[in-house]
Amino acid sequence: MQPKRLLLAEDDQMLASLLKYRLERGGYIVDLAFDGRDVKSCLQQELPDVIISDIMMPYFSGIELLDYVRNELNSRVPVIIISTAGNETNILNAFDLGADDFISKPVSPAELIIRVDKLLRKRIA
Amino acid sequence: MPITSKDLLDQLSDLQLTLEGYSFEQLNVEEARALKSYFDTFRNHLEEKIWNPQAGIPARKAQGALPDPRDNPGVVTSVSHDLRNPLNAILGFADLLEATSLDADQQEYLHAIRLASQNSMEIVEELLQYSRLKAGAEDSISLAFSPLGILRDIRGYIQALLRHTPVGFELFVEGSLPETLVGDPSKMRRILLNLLENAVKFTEKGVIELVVRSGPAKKGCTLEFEISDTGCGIPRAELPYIFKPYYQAGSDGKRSRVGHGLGLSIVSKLIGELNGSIEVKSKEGKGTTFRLRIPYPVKRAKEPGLLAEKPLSPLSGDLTGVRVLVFEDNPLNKKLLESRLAKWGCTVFTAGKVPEGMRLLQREPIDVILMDLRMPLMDGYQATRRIREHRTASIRKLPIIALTADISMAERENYRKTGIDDLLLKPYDPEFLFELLTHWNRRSADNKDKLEFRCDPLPEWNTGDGLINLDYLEAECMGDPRMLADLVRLFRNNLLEFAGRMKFYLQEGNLGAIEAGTHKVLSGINLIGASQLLEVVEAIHRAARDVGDIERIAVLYEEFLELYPLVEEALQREMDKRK
Repeated sequence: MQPKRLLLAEDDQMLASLLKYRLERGGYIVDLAFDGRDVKSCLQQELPDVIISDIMMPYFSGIELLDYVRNELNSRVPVIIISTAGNETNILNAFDLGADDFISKPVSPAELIIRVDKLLRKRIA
Repeated sequence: MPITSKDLLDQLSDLQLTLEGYSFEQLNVEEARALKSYFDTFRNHLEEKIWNPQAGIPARKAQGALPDPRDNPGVVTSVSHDLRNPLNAILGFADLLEATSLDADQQEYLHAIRLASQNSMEIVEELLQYSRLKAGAEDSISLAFSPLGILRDIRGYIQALLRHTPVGFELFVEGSLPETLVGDPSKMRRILLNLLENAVKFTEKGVIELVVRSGPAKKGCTLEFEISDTGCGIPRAELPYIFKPYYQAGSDGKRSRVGHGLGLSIVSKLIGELNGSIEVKSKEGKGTTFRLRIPYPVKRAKEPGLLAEKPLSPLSGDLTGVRVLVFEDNPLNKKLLESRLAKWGCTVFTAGKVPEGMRLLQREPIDVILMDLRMPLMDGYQATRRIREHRTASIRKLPIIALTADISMAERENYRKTGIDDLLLKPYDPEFLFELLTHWNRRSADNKDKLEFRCDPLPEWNTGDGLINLDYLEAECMGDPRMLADLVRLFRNNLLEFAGRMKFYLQEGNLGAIEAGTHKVLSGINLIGASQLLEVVEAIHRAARDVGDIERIAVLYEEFLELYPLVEEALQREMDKRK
């Protein structure tokens, strides 16, 4: 089976690199986007199998990204939102706009892999 | 179709966004120059439109009476505040530059930059002073002070200004002056300084004189001052306008424009507030004489408890071995205090910057703190606040004596609230200082006895322990040393960028950017297990997101600047160990 492709949108390059490293070891191909414009250009080229996005990013928040994916690209691609503790309203917003899952900072790479695995399995099934 | 200001603002903020994303590192010199000149032109156009919206009407209508949009005190205040920040930055960076190795030419250029920015700073301060006066925000205060002390101080300052010129300065006191007067010493000082600085600016050779005498008075005493110079003089036709704001000798462009046109209008306002009078005589090419009278009707201070009134016994007490930390960024004042304190047997530590002082407090057991309140490069109030919020109780409780030249009513009422224990008005009598130090040193010693049993259990920052913990990150990297090194490198880049950007966001008061900026680094700080740093940055994040308290953020940011280098060192040590 072809490895699945993930788009990770996270403006903290350190966290992004760590997550990419771990997700790749988990068998995924990972594209990184550091801000909203990167995200848009990535999405215009090719839709990934899962999008993982920080809720707070320059130029383009995770919420705006969801809106863009669901309402402009009309895509149902699974989206995991990375949120900060204390930002519960935003998580609710995200679910309203069709987020599939969320994970709170500090992000545990192992937990993220499990969540991605689960989302994709659910989709295949 | 004409665009509205909202359209313009939208377009400007779009432009700002674009600029933020633009990588300026790749610019070559030509490109940078072209960009700069383009932006300058653009700014000038914009300013012209804002200041002078009806095109075709010259900004200055007539000579002499000069109606000016800058007369709006609100605009003046906010613009001056805006100018102060970049100027502070220029001075700060000049400082940093000075610490690097420079050759003689470079030193000279740097000196010129400093002078120019200090000069601009003075203009800004003057504008602020003027707009405050105009808005009536300044209250008169009544203190006992020594006129001779003020005159001595002023003489020193003016002589320093004239050091490299052929112009001389003489101070004559005719007869005897009262030892103390009751009134607003800072106003007297500012009046004299403004007039004398003006004289310095317009005099190229000869002598500047200040004559002081005690004049006749029904009640109390009246001081008469005469300030004369041998400068270029003021044309007769212009004499009626010289106390008007923005008047400048040589508005016609003939003479050098060194003044900024506010000094004399400030003087006349201040004299008015003191119920005094001023007159001027001038002969073009010969010089100018200002004659002023200021009444001081009250003989004794009414308000009890003011420092100047504290009964003073001749130097009693002993300061030998007392450890004093001085927050002062003016090298001259610093030296002065150092030598004075050393003469009394004190051990003196001086700090020119807040973090430096905080580090000294961590390292050295200090008994008393002397704090200059108005420093160009350091905010004494902020330093005080940081000491009062310090995590170690013994540091938190240290007595702080503030030194200030300019004390308004508000400051006097507020100073205790800000955590300052006592106040010494400049220019001060060394005996006052001695008394205050003795008094507060005794209090400090009492405090320390009490504190001995409840010392702070928190670890000190400079021990190096608990600054970071790489165990977690190492495990996440699954023992791959290259990955670990990469992540640490990224962490450093992020934090350096963060430190730089925060400074500007703070100046802008941009809470949104501060929130986003902290958000971006929190994970990284968490990953390297820098728990103390995390605490500080999380506090900044919360303050930006939930409270919007810029001042608090500024204090926390200072703390960050202090802590981060220690984290960085610890990180380096840990990484070296792994090599």
